Amino acid sequence: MPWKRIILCVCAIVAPLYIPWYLAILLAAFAAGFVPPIAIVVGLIFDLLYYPGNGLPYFTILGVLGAAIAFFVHRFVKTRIMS
Amino acid sequence: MRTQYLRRHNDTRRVFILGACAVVAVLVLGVRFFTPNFFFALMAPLLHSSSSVTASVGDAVSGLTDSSQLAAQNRALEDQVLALRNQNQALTTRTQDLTKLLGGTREGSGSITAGVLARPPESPYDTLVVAAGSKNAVVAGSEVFAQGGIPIGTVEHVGADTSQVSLFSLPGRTTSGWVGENRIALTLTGAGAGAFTATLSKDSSVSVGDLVYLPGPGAIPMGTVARVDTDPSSPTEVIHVQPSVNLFSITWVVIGNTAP
Repeated sequence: MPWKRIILCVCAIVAPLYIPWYLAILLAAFAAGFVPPIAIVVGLIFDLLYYPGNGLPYFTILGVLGAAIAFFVHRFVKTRIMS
Repeated sequence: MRTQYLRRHNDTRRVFILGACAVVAVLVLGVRFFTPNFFFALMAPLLHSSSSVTASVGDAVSGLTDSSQLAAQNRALEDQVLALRNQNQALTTRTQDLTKLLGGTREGSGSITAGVLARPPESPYDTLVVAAGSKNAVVAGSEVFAQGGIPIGTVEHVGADTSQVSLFSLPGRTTSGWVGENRIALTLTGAGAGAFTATLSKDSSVSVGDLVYLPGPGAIPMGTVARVDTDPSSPTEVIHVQPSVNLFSITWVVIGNTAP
């Protein structure tokens, strides 16, 4: 149902502000199973808020990787169901 | 035929959504890096609400504890506060006496007290977001102190109303310090969440429980040696430092007017 996905996405987006980062990552990973781009959005939010300015933006990179994995898993599962 | 049409239609929609997300991401990144004040001005109310919610949840959870246990804990803490206050007073008097005797420098009063909006574990990079910025005369590079005057980091970015503090315990960050009664010089390497490691020679005679000091001003105790790892084949030992400040519950900091 689309409204459940919307609520899940909103929770994942605001999670970096309210809960420990490792729990926010878990929530984002769960949400990415339904809406893969959420992983990129959450990773970006972490780096936009907390990136110290030196070193790699690990959460953006993790978000892109997570979104890519979620996208391919999502597509693979869907293909199998359709075929 | 219908399945192929649906598959093409869904692929087109998916590409469009990804493209729109990429455009939004580029716009947000642009705002963050080219106009950081505007970005943090937008996020400050959310960060304030986050601190309020965290405090409310903490109060609600603590209310579930047995009241007699809380009362006993409260009495023990009051006794401890009284003892520490007396000790502090005695040390302050002694410092004043020594300053009069030996002469001392007059310290500037340009320090700024700031509330903490975001802290570990919400903040993943060992950074703090504090509610003081350029409007409060905060300057990038200033040293930041926790309760008790313990240095914990430096100001990294300054916005109009908020600032970002990079902690000394940021993984990979190195800071000079001392350990033990003999003030053995060492280089502390951040290990995250307020912890540090350092490598010393085996004959340094550092043991568990020794105090570790950071500069600023003088030598300020910031933690204790929690573990010493030795390897028979190595001439060095690795010490693990446990901080005396609990960064997970820090609520306010003092920002100095000088860099470390």
